[in-house]
Amino acid sequence: MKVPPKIRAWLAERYDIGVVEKFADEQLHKPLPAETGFWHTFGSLSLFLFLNQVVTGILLMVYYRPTTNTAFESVRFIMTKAHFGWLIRGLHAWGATLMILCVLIHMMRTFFMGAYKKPRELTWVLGVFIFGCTVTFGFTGYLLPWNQLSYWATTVGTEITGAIPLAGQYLKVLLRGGEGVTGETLARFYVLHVVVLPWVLTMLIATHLFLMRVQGLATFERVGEEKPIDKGRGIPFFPNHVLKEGVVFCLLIGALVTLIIFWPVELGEKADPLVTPEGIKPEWYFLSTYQLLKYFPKTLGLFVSLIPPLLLLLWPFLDRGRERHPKKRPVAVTIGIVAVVLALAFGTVGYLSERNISVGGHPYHFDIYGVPHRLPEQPKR
Amino acid sequence: MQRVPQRRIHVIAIGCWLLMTSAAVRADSISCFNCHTNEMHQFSASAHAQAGLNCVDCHGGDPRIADETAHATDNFKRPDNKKAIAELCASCHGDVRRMNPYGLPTDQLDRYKTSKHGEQLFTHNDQKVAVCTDCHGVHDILKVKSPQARVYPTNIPQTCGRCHGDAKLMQEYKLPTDIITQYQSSYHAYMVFEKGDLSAPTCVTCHGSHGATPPGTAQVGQVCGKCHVRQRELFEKSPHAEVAAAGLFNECVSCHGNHGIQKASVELFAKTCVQCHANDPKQLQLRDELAGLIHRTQVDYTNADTVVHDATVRGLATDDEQLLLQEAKTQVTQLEAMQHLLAADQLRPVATRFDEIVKLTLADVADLERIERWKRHALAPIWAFLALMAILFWAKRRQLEQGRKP
Amino acid sequence: MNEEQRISRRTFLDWLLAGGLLTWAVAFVAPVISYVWPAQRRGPSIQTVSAGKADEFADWQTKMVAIAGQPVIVVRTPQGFRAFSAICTHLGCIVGWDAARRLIACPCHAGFFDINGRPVAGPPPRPLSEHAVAVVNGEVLVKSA
Repeated sequence: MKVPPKIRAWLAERYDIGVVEKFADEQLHKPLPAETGFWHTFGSLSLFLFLNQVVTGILLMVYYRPTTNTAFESVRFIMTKAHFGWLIRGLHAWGATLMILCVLIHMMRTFFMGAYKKPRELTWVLGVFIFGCTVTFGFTGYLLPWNQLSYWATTVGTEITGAIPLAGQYLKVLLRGGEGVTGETLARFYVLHVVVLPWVLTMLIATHLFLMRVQGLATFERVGEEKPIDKGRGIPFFPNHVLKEGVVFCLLIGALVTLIIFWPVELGEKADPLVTPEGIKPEWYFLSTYQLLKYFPKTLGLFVSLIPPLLLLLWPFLDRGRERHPKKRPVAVTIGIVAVVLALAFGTVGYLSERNISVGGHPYHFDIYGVPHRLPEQPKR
Repeated sequence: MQRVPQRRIHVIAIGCWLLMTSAAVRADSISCFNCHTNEMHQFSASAHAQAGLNCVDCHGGDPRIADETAHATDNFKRPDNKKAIAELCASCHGDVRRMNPYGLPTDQLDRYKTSKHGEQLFTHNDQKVAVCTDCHGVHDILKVKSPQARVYPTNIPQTCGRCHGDAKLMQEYKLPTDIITQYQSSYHAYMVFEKGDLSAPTCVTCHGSHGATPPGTAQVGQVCGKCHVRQRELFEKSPHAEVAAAGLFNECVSCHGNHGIQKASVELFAKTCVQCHANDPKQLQLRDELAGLIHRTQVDYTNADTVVHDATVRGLATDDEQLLLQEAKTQVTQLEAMQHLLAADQLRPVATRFDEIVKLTLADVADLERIERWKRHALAPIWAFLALMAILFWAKRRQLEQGRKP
Repeated sequence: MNEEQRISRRTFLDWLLAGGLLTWAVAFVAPVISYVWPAQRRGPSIQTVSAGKADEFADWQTKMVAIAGQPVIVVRTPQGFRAFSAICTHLGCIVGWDAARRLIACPCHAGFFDINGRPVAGPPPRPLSEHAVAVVNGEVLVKSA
């Protein structure tokens, strides 16, 4: 990537490009710790997926119309008439799921490798906010196709905010733009999804990346005992680490395209406020919280569900241990594993609840709490 | 002060008394209501009260007298038999000039006399039949348009049912005792009461109101045909028309029933044809063909509709297919009406057209599915390319690493 | 392995990588350009549909067009063009034109609508919904909804 000499000379007469060149060189060839491996690629994957969301989101906006009369029809247009519209929409919808997944894995990787410890506490805090932003993206974006699933999942989701004591009802009305989910809600969610959240997330990510670059990647060395990277041992960011990420990138693209083709995003049926479909559930990333809330009365449930995010946010300040290596942090690692298992368990139960499923040839109905009840066999005709 | 002359005082007193008594004649203070408080409550909201009438206008009597002697006048009327009631009502409601400002008809009594109720009353002096007050009410008569009126469409079955739902009474006349319950189970009642369609028939729609008569065998088709125009048209062209004209066949009622009529469905074929044609294999064969055509097209339509609907929900471009489906539905609906023709050769072309349309529709959807499948096949080269790129990246990295080693 | 071979292998790999990356870039950009290129003259908010040239219609001649998957019947009267939803308000059959009576007729139960879309005979309970029509540059344009 060499700048042609004539152009470089022209710039050099006007600007101190020596500084820029030095900065670019430093950043590109910055040495990373030798242990930087496969698990460290999820951050970049999340970033790439965010860029994917931005680009496909802008493309979708070319044809999408955010009113109750036109939203569903415009999505239908994108999927049936616009060339490759199905691909752009698929990339956006599956990209969202994969982005949340990558952010989660990145977060877990950071946790289990103790990279959140001093001096990187703020990077972690920013990361938690990034995660919250990403999930809010998912929540607001989910309403935009204005189909039955969108409408009712949003009704359920915004209903939960009403449970917040004192401010709850006001928050709910503010979010919905009225008493129920209407065109006002659609407009507000659109503004959040397309203007407010992108800027907020961009700032958060920029700061997160800046801090990460300035402090460098964490190793397994104990807190306070970090050594600067040995020039000989370190891996240059570009091109070595980037090439490694390139390999993972290929896998990601492959996964994305496969998902889009084998599990295409459906159009659904247009939102009908008078007809509630059976078994309305929020998207998968909300399932664990959704299920957890069922076991507690409204306000208590809200407080219980706030514990995990709070713990996440404050964790670097709660865990002051000096070790980073997972083998040397049994308590933290156990708590982490328990949290993941609980989240998976609640999520699975949330998926199974209010559903009829055949287990071993017998039909079962899973009730609202996830308890299975054997259904009577249908008499053979 | 000068003393007022005696004569002037008398004039003033008489004047006051006259004023008071004339005020007493006003509707809201006539003496009748001193005793007849029930009737007062009923009457005050009625259409007659709104028109400015009061007790005297129908009953006569002296409204200034506040006891039973008010009844003792010559003009006092208290109709004690139903003929008298009919004639009393008709004394105003048959008077064209009087009814003109209200836009009301004036032939009610004439019509009534042609009805079964009227015949029984005027010819046989049967006091058990219905007369004006039995259906419209006595003092609480409301306009027909008012939803509380006893003769408002949604209240008609209840009003007629007071007699026609009374089993003991009906048995005396050898009339069916379950008409009202039959009607309430019918599709017509469903239209009126659940769908709120007031143009759907109640008792008076088919039987008439003042001239209420069960339609004779020759007239059933005309009554049903008032609304079911096309079916009647087709029926008149069918072999059944002659049979009906000869009085051997009660047109619509023979197959569809009357009071308890249900939504017509293919099942009717199984139940009704055998009533006459049980031993007639040729006609039964025709029945099977007609029923088969209709049933098959209905099922095929439902299936095609499901296929197109599923494709639409998935997000495939089904505008053309939806249009075709509507055309197909038109054919099915036509067949359902055309079966009254009882001419299989006329129905077959319609069914054939239906089949063509459905075939085209399903073929179009299949084409869309083909494109979806093509996408899956495209995955192979895509993965191949991605695998190649991954290998290239990895190889380049290895190369760089080997280059770095001293 | 001598220097020359090492250099040529390095260059070969570089060429392959460059080619692959270029292909990849094209594979990303081409669908995007195709996507933003208007798929039809008017986008998702279809305002009007053409029913052909006004000259093609004699007086009292009709034509069926489709707007957003729904059938619409277009009639030329001496006073101008009229267009109505072709779905009968009775049970949803597609109506046609009865030239002899100059009425819109439904083949299913003999429902008839006049030239204003109002039911004049038979079971249809409601009038046919009307679509605005304009003749622009000799072309008959029917407005949706």
